[in-house]
Amino acid sequence: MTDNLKYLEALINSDSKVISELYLESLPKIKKFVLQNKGAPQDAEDVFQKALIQIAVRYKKNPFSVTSSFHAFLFTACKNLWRRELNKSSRWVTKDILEEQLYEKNEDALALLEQERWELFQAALDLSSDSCKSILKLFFKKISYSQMVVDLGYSSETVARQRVFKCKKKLIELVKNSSSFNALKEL
Amino acid sequence: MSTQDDLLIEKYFRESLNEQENIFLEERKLDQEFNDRFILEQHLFKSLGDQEWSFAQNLNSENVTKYQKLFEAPEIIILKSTLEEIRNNQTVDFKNEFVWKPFAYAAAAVILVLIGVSSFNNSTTSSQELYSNYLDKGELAYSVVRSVSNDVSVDSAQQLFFKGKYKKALPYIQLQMEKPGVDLPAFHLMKGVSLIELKKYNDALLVFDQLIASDYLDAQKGYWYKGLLYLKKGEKQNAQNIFMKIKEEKLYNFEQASEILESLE
Repeated sequence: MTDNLKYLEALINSDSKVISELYLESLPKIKKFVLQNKGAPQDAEDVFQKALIQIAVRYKKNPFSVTSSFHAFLFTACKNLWRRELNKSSRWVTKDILEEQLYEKNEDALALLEQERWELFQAALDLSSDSCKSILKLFFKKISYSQMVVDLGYSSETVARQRVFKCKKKLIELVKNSSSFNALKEL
Repeated sequence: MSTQDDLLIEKYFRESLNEQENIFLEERKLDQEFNDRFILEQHLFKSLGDQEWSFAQNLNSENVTKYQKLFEAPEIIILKSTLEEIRNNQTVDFKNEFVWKPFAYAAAAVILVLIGVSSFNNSTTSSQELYSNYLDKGELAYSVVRSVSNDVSVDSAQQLFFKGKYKKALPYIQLQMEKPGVDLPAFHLMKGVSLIELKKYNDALLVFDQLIASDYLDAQKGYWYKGLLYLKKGEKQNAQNIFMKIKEEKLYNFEQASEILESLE
């Protein structure tokens, strides 16, 4: 059994020995990340626990394999959960109480589906050409076109913008062609 | 999608639309194709950027309900409990790295004193034997089987309880207690006994007191298990008081209470 499968099975079977290994190997890295991003050790432990449960539920629903290392996969899940947590307060500015209650009731499932959507987008970006990947990463970080010209060596801002629009179109096609798009587009 | 639409959407995400462009964007959103694209790009922007997060908009999606149910599946509830246990142990281990040495000799001394005391006073041991002899876990199971329809989490609660895996059983028991209409005395008692076994005596007392204060026909069973708790804890006087009450008021198991009182004298 591969290490990745070992960890996935351990979560489903509540194998405390193997899960303890995960705590020892991965939690310090998550703690470091959360502490560097406005969090406390307690937050890191909460996020770590939520990520493990989220992965277990996903595996139970539809067994999958992890192509990277399990630790990297877990780290990404934790990182996104923490990003989500940090942005939560801004989400409720315009929402009503009933909607908030519904959200809280289903929060675990929503976080899981949002993570799956993130993975779908990330996979599509990974399938893009290297030049598209580079310029889109800057675009989504809201980097100015003048800076893109400097960083990526385009001849003008107009050329950079045309490239962004072209790459974005391609990215959207990749997303829409993904088998999981239909299940996630209504989210 | 025209280049004009691309520019409009980009300006929106870069927060540089003027008033007129804002109005134009709202008009364009009336077009379904444009609106779908706008929403998808919004998710892309928030997901693939560093700072924001793309939250779900449709809270009533079928998938949401399906997944939420999975978070309440027995394996996941057990996992939650296991993770909590590991987390607590990790915290203890972490603390021990720093503090165990100064206290090690003191702990050894306390153990020696306890061994000495227990050699001279065996009343705690004998009351614990009484507890073991009179605790009938089968009676609890019978009450549950009698009262609840087929439910996987009930089975899990029972199995774990009988295997003595009290910490893992507790979340299942709690789950049952939180279900509307299934708040049965048997689950109170299973919870209370689990807490006794985990040496969380005060929490267990609270559970039994809640049962005693309830309107259930089986509420008086709370006294019996409260008496057993005091036996387990080695509080002979409190145990005698409770069993005396059971005997005098002919409450649940009053005959067995009399036997225990005789054994305690």
